[in-house]
Amino acid sequence: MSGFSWISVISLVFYLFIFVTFLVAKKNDRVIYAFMVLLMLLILWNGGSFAMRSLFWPSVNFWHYVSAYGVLLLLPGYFFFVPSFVGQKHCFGAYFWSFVFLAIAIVNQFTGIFIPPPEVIRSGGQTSFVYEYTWHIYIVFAVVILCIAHLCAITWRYCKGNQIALQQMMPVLTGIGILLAGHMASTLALFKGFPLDIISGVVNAVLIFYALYKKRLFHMTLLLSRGNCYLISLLLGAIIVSNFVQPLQNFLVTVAGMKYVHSVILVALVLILVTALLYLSIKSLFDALFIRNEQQQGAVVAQFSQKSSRLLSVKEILQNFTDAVMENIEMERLLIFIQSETGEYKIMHTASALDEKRFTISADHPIVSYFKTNSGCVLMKDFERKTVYRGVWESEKRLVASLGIECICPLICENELFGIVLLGGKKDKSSYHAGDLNFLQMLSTICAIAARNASLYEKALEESRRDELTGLLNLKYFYEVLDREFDKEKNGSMSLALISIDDFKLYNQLYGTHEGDVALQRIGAILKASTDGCGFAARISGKEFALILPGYDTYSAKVMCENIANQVRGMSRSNGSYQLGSLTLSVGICAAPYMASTPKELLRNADSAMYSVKRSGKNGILMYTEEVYLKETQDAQYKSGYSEHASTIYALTAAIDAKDHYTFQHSQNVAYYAASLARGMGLEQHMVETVKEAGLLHDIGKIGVREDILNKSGPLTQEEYEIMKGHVDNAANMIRYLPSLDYVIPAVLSHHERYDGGGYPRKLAGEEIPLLGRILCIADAFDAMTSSRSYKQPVSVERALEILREEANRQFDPTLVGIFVDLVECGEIEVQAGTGENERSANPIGIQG
Amino acid sequence: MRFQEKLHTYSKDELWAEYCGFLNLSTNEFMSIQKRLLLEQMDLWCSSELGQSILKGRHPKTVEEFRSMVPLTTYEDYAPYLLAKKTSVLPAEPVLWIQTTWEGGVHPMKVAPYTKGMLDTFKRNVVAGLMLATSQKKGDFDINVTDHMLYALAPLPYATGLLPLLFKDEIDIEFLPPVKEAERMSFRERNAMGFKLGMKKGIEYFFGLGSVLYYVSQGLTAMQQGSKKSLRDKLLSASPAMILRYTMAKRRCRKENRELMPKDLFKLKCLICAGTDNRCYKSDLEKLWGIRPTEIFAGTEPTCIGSETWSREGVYFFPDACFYEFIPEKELDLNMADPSYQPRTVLWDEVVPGGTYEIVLTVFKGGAFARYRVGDVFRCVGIGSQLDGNDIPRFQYIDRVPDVIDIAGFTRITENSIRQAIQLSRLPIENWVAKKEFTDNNRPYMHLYVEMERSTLTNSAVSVQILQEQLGIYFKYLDSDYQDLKKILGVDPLKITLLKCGTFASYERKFQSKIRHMNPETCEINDLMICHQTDSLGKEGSLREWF
Repeated sequence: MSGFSWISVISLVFYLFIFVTFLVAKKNDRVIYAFMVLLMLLILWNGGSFAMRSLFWPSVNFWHYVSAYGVLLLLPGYFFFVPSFVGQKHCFGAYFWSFVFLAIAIVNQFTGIFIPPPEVIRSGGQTSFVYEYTWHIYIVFAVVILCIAHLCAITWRYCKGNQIALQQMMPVLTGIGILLAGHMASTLALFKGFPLDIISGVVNAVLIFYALYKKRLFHMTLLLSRGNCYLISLLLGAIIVSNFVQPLQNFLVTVAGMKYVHSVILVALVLILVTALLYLSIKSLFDALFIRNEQQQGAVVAQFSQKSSRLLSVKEILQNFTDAVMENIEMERLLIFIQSETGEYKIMHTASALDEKRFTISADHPIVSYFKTNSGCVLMKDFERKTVYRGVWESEKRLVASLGIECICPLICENELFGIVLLGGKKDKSSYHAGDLNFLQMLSTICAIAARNASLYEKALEESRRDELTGLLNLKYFYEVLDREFDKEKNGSMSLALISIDDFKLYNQLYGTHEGDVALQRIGAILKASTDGCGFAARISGKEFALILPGYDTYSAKVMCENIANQVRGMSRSNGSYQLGSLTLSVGICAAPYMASTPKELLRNADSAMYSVKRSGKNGILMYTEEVYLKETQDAQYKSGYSEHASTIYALTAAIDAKDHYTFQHSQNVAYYAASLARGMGLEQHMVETVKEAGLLHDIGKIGVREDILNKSGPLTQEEYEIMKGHVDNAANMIRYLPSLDYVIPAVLSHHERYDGGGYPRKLAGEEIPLLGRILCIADAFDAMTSSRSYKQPVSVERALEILREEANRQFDPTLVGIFVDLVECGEIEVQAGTGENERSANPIGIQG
Repeated sequence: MRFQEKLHTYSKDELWAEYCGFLNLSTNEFMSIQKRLLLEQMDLWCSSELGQSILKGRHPKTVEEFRSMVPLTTYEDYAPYLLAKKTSVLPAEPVLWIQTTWEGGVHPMKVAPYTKGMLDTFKRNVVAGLMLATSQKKGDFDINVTDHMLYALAPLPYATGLLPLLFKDEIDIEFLPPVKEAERMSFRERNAMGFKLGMKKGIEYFFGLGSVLYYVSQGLTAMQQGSKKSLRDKLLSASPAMILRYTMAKRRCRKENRELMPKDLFKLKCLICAGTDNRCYKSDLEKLWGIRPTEIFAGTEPTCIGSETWSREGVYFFPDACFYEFIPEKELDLNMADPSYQPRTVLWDEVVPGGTYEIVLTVFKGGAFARYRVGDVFRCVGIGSQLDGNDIPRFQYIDRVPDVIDIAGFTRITENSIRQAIQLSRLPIENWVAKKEFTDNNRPYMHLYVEMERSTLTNSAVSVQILQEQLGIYFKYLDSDYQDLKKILGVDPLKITLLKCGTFASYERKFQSKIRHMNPETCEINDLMICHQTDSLGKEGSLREWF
């Protein structure tokens, strides 16, 4: 290659490289097309110049005119480029100047008066090209100056008052200036033969390229494909070949004395080696400069995608996401918000465990609105410039500023904003760039899909494990948890509490199932709050709950259950329109390893304790002990009708309680005294149970007595007394509808008969009165005497026993009185708490209830 | 980042979207910003001592609860706390306090606290206002760092004094004269200096109260016609381009046989006016400057709440300055008739085109005022505009509420202040009615219809001139702004009409009701004048004559 041909070659390589790159790239802006037109004209100019200087076929003149076309049409090309660059429409000048310059080029082609072909001078094996311009060239210069002035005018018009456009245009304008200066200088004698015009063209192209890059019309990585590396190494290889092959071969043949054939092979090998080395060097240079980071990020994305697809836990996916992000972009903070059931976004994961986790992003937050229409990551500084940002609270602005949030990424899946990632500033204090945002966008997209799927799976799993009404664990999962926790606590302790709501069926019947469901939900909430973080609460049947309390011993479990029972009792008893009855709980507790060695045993024992409470009047907490076991064993031998009808009896007694609170408590006391006396007499267990049940039901007939009579504080009239006496028959009539309890009727019917025959309703006497009736009579009278009444103070126990003795053979069976008095005196029978004040005796002497 | 830096960093479209994007919000989007910011403000205001002094222990949680629990308020409700500048009782820490006149006399001034959030929003909105004022179409604003602003606004602690500071925070445009120097100058000196500098450097923006802008513009014309020496002095310091422009303008004016006007010398990018009675001056200002003024809504209590656009079809409210409620005209009338009546309000998205409303504001970002009756009346001139390409309501400023007479944005004359002036003057006035009226060339003034005490007529000098002078003296004494009105604009805003003794009694007999003292309807004034005429002539026919 001779003279300055290499300059033409390098510039041509440069133009071709950029042109090919843009040719294969996606062109989404018309300014890129305009730039490619400019490049094409530069290629014509330089290509023509190179072909001419290389004396290519067909002729020097041909290539000269090709080059002239390129250079002459370059300015009209700018008329297309500049408006596109500043986002304006093409002006008339573009077409006008295209016509003018095309005309000049055509005239020049046929006459050669403006830019004549160069004179080819060969001397000493060197070829040089000398241009001899005539004054006609100044016509071209004049037209060029006019065209440039016009171009400057429209540029000024576009950029006036728009500093940013002017700033962006500056490299382009400088390029034009250099181009013009280069051409002017090349006509001077000083630079004769030196292709200043071509150098200025290269500088101009570089400046345009820079302007496009600054305008972010393409990314640098666009230029860094494998193909481009091949192209560059090939072109550079070609330059080396053209410049060094002949001298090398001459050297090998002449100096080294190598045979011609061998020298050709060696040269070819050297050429291949040099080209390969060039390729590798260029590739590693590009990698080091631009794409290593991108490749790394690509690998991270692929790895994250692979990992996430295998995970079914949202937490794990978010942890992986955080790791992947932090590995590539070290940042001060990363907070991930996930949409909750209420619609707001709560912090689910943070890069640092120390980060504040209490704040949330509401569903109507401007960032949520923004991501409804924009799916890409957004820099905080850009978001602050959006109109929706006007709705952000000052407190939120302060919070974001204090957290140093610089970037926000959406987690969008199926067009729904599943979560939001807030990213703090980078640790190296640099800003987030486009590459970072692309990387974050890719990761966020994958993370959103994976986390969403995992969330759906977790939700489905959770739903399958939860009771729908209360949100507590369901029975199936309760067993799983019980086994698991029992296993975990092998070397420690664990308590199980079974909780049954007392008389819940009655509650449902009285207030309706809706109120019942509300009560269940509220109890569920109490249990959940009480066990939060220290145990598990489950609903194991309609009205029964279980608490698994790992690490709890019997005492601490009891304390917790007492607390729960108090809360349940204190639950608001109004539904807005009427008062609701309070609910009580029967709780059985068993603790391992103290009283159970397997989960099954633990459950069975807690169940026994709970039923023991149920059978002994409900509303209590019982820890499973040996005694409970024995009692339950005994009870198992006798199954009375009471067990079957317990709920009915309680419903009836609750009805009395609602009407006359005294009678309810009184019935409980009478049942206790009667059962104790029967037991003291050595009666069989079934007799004891029967008299207890009769005691509970003996005053049930009072449901039918008017309240004003029941609650009257003064003495009853004869008529009122008659009505009062009717409660005995009422009771018998009511119990008759419970066929399996009819065995208590004789006792109930005869509890107001007197031993001397002066009682009612049948005026029986002595042994005619059924034994259980006589027992009831004593129990009834004793409780009536020791209780406070509206019309009398309670008498002392001693005095009551004395009255019993005095009335033996008259009102009471003397044998039974003796036994009863003994039992009371020796403490076998404990005197029960006094009852209310409104007891109205149906007996004029006032010692019977 | 300052607006100035943004000019270098972002394209026009991006900046337009940032500052003026609110114009393209849908009604729902606008309201969701309003309601969201109100929730924040509710939280701050309701938990403050100031808020609790009005709420009395209640805590609204929703917008609806807020509107039902908080009564409509006036400055009286806040005065004990704000006048004492008790910052501890406020919803948020104020950065500065802004002052304005209240009623004069016993209520000379009122103050309003400004928080940082309020100032940031204020700043963003005034820049948006400037962009809209310089725009010829959507997105096409014309703001340059090298521009100059001639401003005719009161300095701090008045709200108008904030504007140069806010602009300075965002862009290094030059104020003529420089703000610090202007603070030390009188109004006249400021104008003179402003124009002198304008001749040298050029004027691109002109900002002030409509009435003041007009006065200043006229002053410029007069100055050019007047002292040749003064003009020569100014031209000596003017730029060559200005001298050339002046020479050409003079030639053109001679040719067109008209006076030299500011538009011949200056090519304004925008003319921004604020305050009341702007519509009286807009056409004249356009004639003088060759550019239609852009109106913005701003006030001491609410900050800058709205701006006109290139279409000049009405003012659009900013979504983030205040929560807007509107009292419909009918409700306002009911409230005027019975002050204890709590008028119903409608929201921004419930106004109807053509409807006239008194505005009720809740200032966002820790502001002190909630459901505050600032005393301005607006008309909704339309919803959506083809020119502006949006679907949101636009408004026109009508005037102050009827019980306040505001002349050219200077005064706030109330019934109370008129009573005080009469009392101080010791004039034997039996009864009176005040109404804001307009001259033939559309300039506002206060017309006082006065009836003297019959018993004093024989021994007191009570001519119209005496009344006008005496009352004028006491109005000036009570209200410094009234004084400024005369001093700055050189106009006497008071006109007196003496009514025959017994006119008011006759009106009462005839119409079975008393006439309202402040701003009664024009037909009521006509009726009063009929009573005045009828009784004097004593015949029926005079009624027809009158009409």
